[in-house]
Amino acid sequence: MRTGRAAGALLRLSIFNLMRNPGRSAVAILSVLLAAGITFAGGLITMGVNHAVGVGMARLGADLMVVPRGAVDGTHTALVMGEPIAFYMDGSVVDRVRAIPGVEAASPQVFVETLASAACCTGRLLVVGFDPETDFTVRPWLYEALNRDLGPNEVVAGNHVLMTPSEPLRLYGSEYTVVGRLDPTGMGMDETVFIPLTSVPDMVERSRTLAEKPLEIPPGSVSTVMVRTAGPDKVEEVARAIEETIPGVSVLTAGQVTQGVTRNVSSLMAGLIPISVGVFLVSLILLLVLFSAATMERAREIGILRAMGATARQTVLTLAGEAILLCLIGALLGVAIGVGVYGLFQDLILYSFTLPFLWPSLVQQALFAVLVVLGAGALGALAAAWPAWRLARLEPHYSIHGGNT
Amino acid sequence: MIQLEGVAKRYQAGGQVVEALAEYTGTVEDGEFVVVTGRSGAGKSTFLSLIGGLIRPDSGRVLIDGQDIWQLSDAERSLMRCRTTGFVFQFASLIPTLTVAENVMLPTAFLPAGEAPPKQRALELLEQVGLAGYGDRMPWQLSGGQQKRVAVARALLNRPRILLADEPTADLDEQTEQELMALFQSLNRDGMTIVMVTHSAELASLGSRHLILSGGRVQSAP
Repeated sequence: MRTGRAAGALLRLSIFNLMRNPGRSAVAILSVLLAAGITFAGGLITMGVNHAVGVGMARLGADLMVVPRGAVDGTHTALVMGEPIAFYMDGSVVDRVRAIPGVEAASPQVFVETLASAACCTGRLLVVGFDPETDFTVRPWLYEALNRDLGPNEVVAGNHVLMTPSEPLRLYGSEYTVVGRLDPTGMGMDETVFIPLTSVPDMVERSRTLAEKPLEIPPGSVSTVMVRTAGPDKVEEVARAIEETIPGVSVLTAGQVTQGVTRNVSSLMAGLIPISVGVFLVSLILLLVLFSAATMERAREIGILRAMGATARQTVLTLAGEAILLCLIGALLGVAIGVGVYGLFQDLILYSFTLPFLWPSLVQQALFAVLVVLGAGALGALAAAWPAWRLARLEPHYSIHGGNT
Repeated sequence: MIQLEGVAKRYQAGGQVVEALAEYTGTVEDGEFVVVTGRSGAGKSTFLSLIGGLIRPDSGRVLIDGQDIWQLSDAERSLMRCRTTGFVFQFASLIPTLTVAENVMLPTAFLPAGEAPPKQRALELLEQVGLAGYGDRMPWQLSGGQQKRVAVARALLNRPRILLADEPTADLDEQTEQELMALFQSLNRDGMTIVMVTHSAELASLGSRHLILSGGRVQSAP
């Protein structure tokens, strides 16, 4: 009981002391704010990117993508960022892929690149024709959400394709009805419209007379073949076999996509981590100096408290409490500002580094925020511990009188 | 009863060893009013801190009611200090961020809940030192003499049996000094043990015993 009441009184003293030195408190808060804000924003990006890759790759459902040789980088960009892209190879590749041992399923897709402003209501749109007969990436979701296949002129849109439900989607002179919207993945499929492969020739045909720029898709060609292997241990083996057996193609594995994203995250973090570490160290040094000065300034006060009956432990707690309190305030503000700044510059960051992003769950965000705030509290405790411990070890007589006898 | 048995304290100052107190053995009986005088730097404050357990002696023992205070843990010694001893320092020792009443109440924070006196006692003490109605003011709104009186009220809050006062009349005007000494004498008559350090020979006559500290040695005044 004695400890609790004393702690309350000492905490009040700490709060009053912080208010008595607004300039010093502001500097401490600002330094922690910067460190916490950068750490939180960096962590949020990493979490969001990992979350997006996890969800996106799970949704993709394919182990391999077979594309024309030289189209791997473009496919990666299209897959991750939804950048419209167009490349084609002969449709016979599909059967040749299926014939390779270890291939469990193979399904073709055709990429139809849209003009930047030609889509109904968004500047960037990738139209993908998929084969309902063999598909294993879009259909499972379709059956889960619609319980049927797509009808003629029906499409499924990615989560970021902006349009009103009643508004028909106009593509190359043809009108389509959006019958479903995919859950967000943070990857390219959020910017994609999926149409049955059988609708693509009609679209091409109509584009010749109705579109400003007709589509040029060779008949019977495909852009990619999605491949599911017999097991995770077969992926590398099948990929190698495809590239060796079928000339003119390259294989992109799900692992390569993930690795590519990881590389891009790393290049972003390569800039962010030194800044974070630098800000952290500067904050730590600044806090050490500030709290050392604050502790020395309060030496006599602490000595008087000890003369009244405060223990050495209580004096350490009151000084550390003051530092922790400042750091917690700074960290809370830093987290809030970090979210705000990231929200404002999200697109710039993600497009600059070709990164997918899907907001982590609120629980994850909250846990991470709590972690950053607690970490900042620990930083405060660390910075105040040494001067507080030195003062606590000093006998009260010396705290009160300095060097005088 | 306060007992000092062969208590010695030395300091390092400018590369030299200064003997603040050479092995002193003496007793302050319950209810005594001991005045300690000496020149500046004679070690008067150190002598008071040794009695109050604010500094550890290099050798010897300090006993309060037969208990060697340096055999106690920090928490036990702190609690003992809180219960039995009130300190008045020569400088303004109020916490500037607390009101006058909060300053007076501060020592209760370190007492067990059942022992803490009510706020009413703080107000009564403020009245006793002539500062009734000053409870809500901040220290900077008081004169030096008024601040000193608040510090006295704070020292008395926990009903200590021992009052240790270090130059309590320093910087006070004559009238305030007289009022403060009258209060100390009244407290002493009521049974409180007082050890007061002062450089004023005039005030020395107010105590029941007068010790002179010089060159680290304590002598009884004739």
